[in-house]
Amino acid sequence: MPTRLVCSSSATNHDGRLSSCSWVHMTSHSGHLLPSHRLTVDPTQHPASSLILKLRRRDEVSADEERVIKELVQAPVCIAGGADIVSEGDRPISSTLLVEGFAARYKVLPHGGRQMTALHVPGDFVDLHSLLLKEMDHGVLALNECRIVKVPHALLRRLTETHAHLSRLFWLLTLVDGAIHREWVVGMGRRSAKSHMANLFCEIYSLLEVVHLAPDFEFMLPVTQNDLADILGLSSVHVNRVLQELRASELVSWVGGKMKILDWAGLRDAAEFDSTYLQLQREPR
Amino acid sequence: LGAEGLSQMPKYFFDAHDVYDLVDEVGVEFPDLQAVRRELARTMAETAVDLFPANPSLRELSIEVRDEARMVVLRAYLTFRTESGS
Repeated sequence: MPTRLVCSSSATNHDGRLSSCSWVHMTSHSGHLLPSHRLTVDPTQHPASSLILKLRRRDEVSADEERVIKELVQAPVCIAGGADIVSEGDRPISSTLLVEGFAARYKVLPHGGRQMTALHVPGDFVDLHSLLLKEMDHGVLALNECRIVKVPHALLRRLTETHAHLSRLFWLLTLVDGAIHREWVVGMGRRSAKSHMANLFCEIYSLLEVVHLAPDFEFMLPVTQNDLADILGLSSVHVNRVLQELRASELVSWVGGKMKILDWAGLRDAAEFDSTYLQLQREPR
Repeated sequence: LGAEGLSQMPKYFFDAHDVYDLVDEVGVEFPDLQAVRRELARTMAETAVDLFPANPSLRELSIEVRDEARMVVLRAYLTFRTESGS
């Protein structure tokens, strides 16, 4: 029976970089739900599974490329919710793949104001760009308990020399990150708060759907109202108000960290959402 | 709502009166009323950007802040007034 190391859930603490989560052995025959019906990543799957789903949504990934990716992605570790995965000023020697959980890139201003500049979901490299950018100009925070894999830059650099197509696919990931940034800038600069928030929910759903974590328009969104304010660049009272508007229009429900899109067409209309920027078409890259 | 952790901060509820009458059933936590006032100033400004241009007949935004006992502890107003030149 195949056995894999998985990290058991534990109460999140907000003071340490690494959580106290313990490692347990778990067999993969344990009658788990089908991937398409889960809201969290199946711990018995290879830690690169979400990343491979993400790449396959955008292009063919050969069996050889899949093997190479799986070799790169080894030995997940746990990070407590609220802890930094990478800190501003760090010079990482590896790039971090998010296997499970949600993470956010953020900047903190001298007077204490915080802006989150990106959200990351399972299958995302949170700092693939650090391979070339060296010193981090922002931090990356675990929003809830995360499982991550650190992929050494030396291996990624070698990959760019031996696997041209895979390198382009990794390049594509950073380009999609950039496209998402553009959409956030448009939202902050030009959209109404309601449209901006609706856009964010459409985007998160679309990204989670790719990695099979949003069955029936339902997904985990483990962020607080204050986090959402820092993501959208709005005051938390305004976020509270706009959420109530979206609820009152029966577009979404959000209870206990679980979001359900009740009216996808209505939410898309409120957002004026166009998923082109997420590059969800499979084509040669 | 969301993944709220255990918190010692009091919760305040914000009922808005403008193009809608919104009763806040969820609330937001703040350390004290001073923090509420600071946040309200931002909220009013952000709401103004959304609502005044889109609703030409709207003249005023108001928010009533209630505490956990649902008593009103603060009222905030923002008025937009234009006057034609003669």
